Amino acid sequence: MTSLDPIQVFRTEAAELFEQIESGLLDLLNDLSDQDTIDAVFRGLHTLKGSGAMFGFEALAAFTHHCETAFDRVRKGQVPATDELVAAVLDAQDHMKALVSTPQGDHEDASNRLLAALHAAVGGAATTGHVVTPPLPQASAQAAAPASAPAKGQAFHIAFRLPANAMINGTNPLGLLDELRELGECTVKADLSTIPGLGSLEPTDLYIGWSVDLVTEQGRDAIDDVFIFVMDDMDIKVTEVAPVEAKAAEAAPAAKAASPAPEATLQKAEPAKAPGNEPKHGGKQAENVRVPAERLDELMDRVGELVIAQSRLSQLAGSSADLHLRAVSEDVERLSGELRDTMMVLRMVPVGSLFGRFRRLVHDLARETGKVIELETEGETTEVDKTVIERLADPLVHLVRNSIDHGLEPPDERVAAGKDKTGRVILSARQSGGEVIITIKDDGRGINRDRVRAKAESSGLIQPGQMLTDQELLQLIFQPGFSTAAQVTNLSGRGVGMDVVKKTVEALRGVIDVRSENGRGSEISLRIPLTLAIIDGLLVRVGAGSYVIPLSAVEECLELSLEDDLRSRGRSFISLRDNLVPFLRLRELFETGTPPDRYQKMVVISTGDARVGLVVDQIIGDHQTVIKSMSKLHHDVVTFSGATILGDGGVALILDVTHLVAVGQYQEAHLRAAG
Amino acid sequence: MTVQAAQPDAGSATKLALPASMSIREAVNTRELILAALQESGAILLDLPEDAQVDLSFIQIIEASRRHALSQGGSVALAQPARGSLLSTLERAGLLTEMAAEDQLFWLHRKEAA
Repeated sequence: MTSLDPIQVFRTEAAELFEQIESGLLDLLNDLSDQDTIDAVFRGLHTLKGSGAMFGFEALAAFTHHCETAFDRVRKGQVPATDELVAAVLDAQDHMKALVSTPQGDHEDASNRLLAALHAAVGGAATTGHVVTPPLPQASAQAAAPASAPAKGQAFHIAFRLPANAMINGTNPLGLLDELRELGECTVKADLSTIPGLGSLEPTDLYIGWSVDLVTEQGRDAIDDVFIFVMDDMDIKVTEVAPVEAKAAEAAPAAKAASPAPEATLQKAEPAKAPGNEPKHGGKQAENVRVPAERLDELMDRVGELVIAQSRLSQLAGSSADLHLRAVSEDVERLSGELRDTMMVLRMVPVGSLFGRFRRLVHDLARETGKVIELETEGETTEVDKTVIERLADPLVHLVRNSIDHGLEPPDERVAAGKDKTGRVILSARQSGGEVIITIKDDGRGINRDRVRAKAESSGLIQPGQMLTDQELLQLIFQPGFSTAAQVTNLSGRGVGMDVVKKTVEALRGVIDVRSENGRGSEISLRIPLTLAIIDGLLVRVGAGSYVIPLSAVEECLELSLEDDLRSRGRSFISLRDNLVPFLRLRELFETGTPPDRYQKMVVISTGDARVGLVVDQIIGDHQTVIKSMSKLHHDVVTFSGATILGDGGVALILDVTHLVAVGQYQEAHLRAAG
Repeated sequence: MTVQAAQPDAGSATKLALPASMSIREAVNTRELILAALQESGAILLDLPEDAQVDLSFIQIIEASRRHALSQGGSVALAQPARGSLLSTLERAGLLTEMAAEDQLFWLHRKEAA
């Protein structure tokens, strides 16, 4: 039986808590009086402290305690939430991350400096102190002692069961029970019925549930406060039992029953549980399972190999007269297709997980540059392959930094230009066919085309006066070493980054579109395939070679007769429902040296609004395509985005749709220009 | 951690000396240790140091061990009645409330009224 390393589990949980705390802090900057957000930040800090202490991260627990105390005071209205406090806690949070990643490091100086800032931010009030561990109860006395006098207040029956991962997440059930005892006369009874046998026990899970009879003068709200940090994830039922005095009188015998007096309990002894009758772990079943990313990658590789093997089986079955073999082959094909689809869904991650980190970036950049910036995000629920998400993180940081540093003007400049002093950066994502389009848009000054051209000419990237389309000119900003920033800052302007952005996006088989309007802002769109692993492809033959066209890009297939082919020579355009569509003869492009088939086919593909036809000799059919990367020797081959293995063991190259469409559009533009 | 010979008064039970710290941090090891002992010898006697520090995870492991032993025809017992941190944890967790006779016998070694 294998179990996850608790320390690693804590680190993962801490990372989530950091995100939650940071998100709350940044929300708070929009409305410093938002009590729900203040509570959420407090809860996050509290949980982090508790979990840290439980897993031996004492320095983290001690440090976090100060931040928690500060927010507790805010929560209680003793001090106001201020920008300074939020900034201090944000800085402190970065330090907490260091305390999690390198707990043995020398953090004392940094801790003292940050605590001094925190202290100043809350007006020098008491944030100092020591980590408070939950008070060890006078529980035994309270729980077991018979009530000497009738308790006053309301009587409640509380039945609760915490989530299975409560303990490992830092919740201390005994602490909750202690807090309930502090509210009044309390009888606690544990329900052990769901504890399984040792063979099935997950030792860090919580199986015990509780029922509590409580008489308190503090009301229902006080009970809710006890569970405030765990309320969302637990099962709890609180029932008001009886009127005050009458119930209080009954509390005495109830409390007596709490004492482990054998005379009383022997009468109520339950029969021993039947051997082998090991109850299932009760309570709400876990809704999510945490799986290491490498295991998903391994599974993906296996599915890829299965798809290739299935392709071979289909080919064998197709050439066999054995109907049983064909039936089995079809079943395997269907099942492997379903498995692939399921696998794809497993790998999909909402892009919101990527966007979340930019709120902090924008906040920090606003402080550094003195600009007033508002970040908007749209389409956070759009899902993308997890590998795409991971690889896009750095390019997006560069682009957002660039938008803020180069694009957005300082407040006075914006006001002088008749704009709102607050600059806006919009980060959005949406799915379009087999692509996800991530856009970074700002309402700044826009890209100065004259400056781009001058810079490109002076650095020899283009010839003086060279004719360029608008897109070609704007794409120059992605050239290595290119920067139009008059002043190099910490943020950008070093010309390092934008070329890396382009390379990263292209490595993801994506493409970058740039739009910019002088004085109105810029928009950079990254169009990335939804997945990098397996795609539905259209298998075609050109000459003697097989090629795969990603099916998500295919709009339609037409027949190109020899007559039409001859008629269009020299123009390479076809009229498609009154629209001229350029086409490429792949046989010529690939220099196959073979004569064309009598009835050639044209596959019309598109990216965004641009379309192009690809003339092939034969359309073989759809093909589940496991994408294999090209070798390093072929990294500069632009027409193909990868390769795949066919059922007969042969190799088919996968066409780079974006590149081919660009070639077609370029051809169209030049032919139009030539009249 | 060592598996020792059974105490004379514990019949054929194998005595298992447990470490002083048995919190959730050690829960995985504690479970493996007891499970291995139960598989090796169906009857075990758990020997906790007087200053043993435990939490709820340990209580659950012991309860799970009792169920396991029962289903396998074996037995688990404590060498000494619950004391110190163990007793406090049992109380705080509400396990002593309306405690069944066999549970009193197991945890507290009580056979009759105190």
